[in-house]
Amino acid sequence: MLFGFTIIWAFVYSIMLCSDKLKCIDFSVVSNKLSSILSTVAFLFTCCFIGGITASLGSVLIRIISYISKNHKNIIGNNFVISFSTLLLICLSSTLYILLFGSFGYLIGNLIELNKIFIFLAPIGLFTILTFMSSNGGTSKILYGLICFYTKETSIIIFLIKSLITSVILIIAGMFLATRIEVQR
Amino acid sequence: MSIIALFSILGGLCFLVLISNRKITTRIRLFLSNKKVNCILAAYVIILIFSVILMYILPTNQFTASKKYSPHFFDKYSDAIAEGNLDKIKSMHKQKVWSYNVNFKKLAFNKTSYWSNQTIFVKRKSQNDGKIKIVSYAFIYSLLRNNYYVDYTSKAKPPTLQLKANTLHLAAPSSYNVKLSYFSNELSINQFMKEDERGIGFGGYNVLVLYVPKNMQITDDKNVIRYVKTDPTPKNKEKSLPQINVIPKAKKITSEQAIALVHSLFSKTKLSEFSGGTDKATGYYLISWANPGIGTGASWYVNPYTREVYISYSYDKIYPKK
Repeated sequence: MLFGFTIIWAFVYSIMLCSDKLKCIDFSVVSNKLSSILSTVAFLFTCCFIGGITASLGSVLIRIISYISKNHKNIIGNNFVISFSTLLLICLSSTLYILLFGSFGYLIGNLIELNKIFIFLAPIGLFTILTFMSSNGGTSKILYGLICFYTKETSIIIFLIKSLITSVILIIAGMFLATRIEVQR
Repeated sequence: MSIIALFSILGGLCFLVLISNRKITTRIRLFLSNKKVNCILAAYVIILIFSVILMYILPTNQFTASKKYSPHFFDKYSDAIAEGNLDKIKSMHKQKVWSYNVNFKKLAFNKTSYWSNQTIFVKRKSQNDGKIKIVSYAFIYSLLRNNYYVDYTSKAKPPTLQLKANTLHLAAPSSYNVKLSYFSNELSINQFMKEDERGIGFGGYNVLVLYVPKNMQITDDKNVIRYVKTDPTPKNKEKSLPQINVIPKAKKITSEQAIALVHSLFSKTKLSEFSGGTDKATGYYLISWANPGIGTGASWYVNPYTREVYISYSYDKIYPKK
């Protein structure tokens, strides 16, 4: 649940980062548009990294709260203690997932800034995708394949490469849109 | 957990309402200076790091122990029941003993509540003492998760039995509540772990052993009991599949033809629900039928030369009919 909420936060926050209000904040310290975009991207990466670490360690905190608040005889011991290597794996994979959603949100945010019609189109598109996901018709096969491309990957190294490349592509696309907004204005 | 989720959603909504109000937002900004925000963040990070350290040093020996089980863990129990070898099962828990004085010679059964998994063994005494003794046993009443199980056999309740006239009325054991907390792997690493994350399941067996007088007849006309084994069981012991005699000129049918033959005997079933192959022990084709979703099933032996069909549990010939 904590991980899910963090993903939602990363997605929404990266959309908000592209809004005019937040863009104006860095005008006093950043010299030009490119450095402004780069600083936003760097800030997004930092937020996703912190979000990933805190969400992962938050699950440990929940374990400790359960330990203190519940009768020990009502707790099944398996999986209570996470090995250090597994904890590192959780931190890494959570950060990558959050970064993936964050960069997707950054692209959506810039699309919205480019044209306000995407305020309506983006949720409709997402809703349609989710509807196709829940249906078992053939139309969802491509989308299902796309989701499996990340979620069924069993090697952390390949997952790291896949998610980083996707995030970079999404962020570059978002940056390209952000520069177009500047041209329009 | 659901309460925590509810409070977190309510808290989130309250937060959204608060930040949408400019006056309140300004007050929050005034109250939460950068220093305070930094302090809160630092405190949260310290708590997180401290919780990691605590996780490794806290004693966990008081937790409910769970044991690992193999995929065929339950098979040895179900096989022992099917064979009637209760002696094979070491971890049986004696729940309750009933004793009745009887003056009839025919015992019938009736089920008064839904109970799917009841097995009864009947053991004959050496003399006619006019007494029926019933012992209820439970074993591996357990809660299963992934490859682990927690044993609750000692907490399992016995069934309710009533002997009225010559009928033994059986009611399912009453339920009991177990409160347990367990920790799953994080969602983000499930794909990298070798063990699949599975939900909670329940298992367990209950067996009634009836000690009846020597001449007591047992009837189960209503077919309320899953399995009755009498001891001694001359009828079952005498019956077995006839040995296959290879007939040189006769054409041996394929397993598909055997499946089609069995399917033709049951008009309401679908061909796709049948499966089967050669039974190495007997040389017969063993054809099974499972009805997915309903939980019913059956199996038959088919002689590959004579095309005779036998019911697997009783070895009664059903095709060709006499």
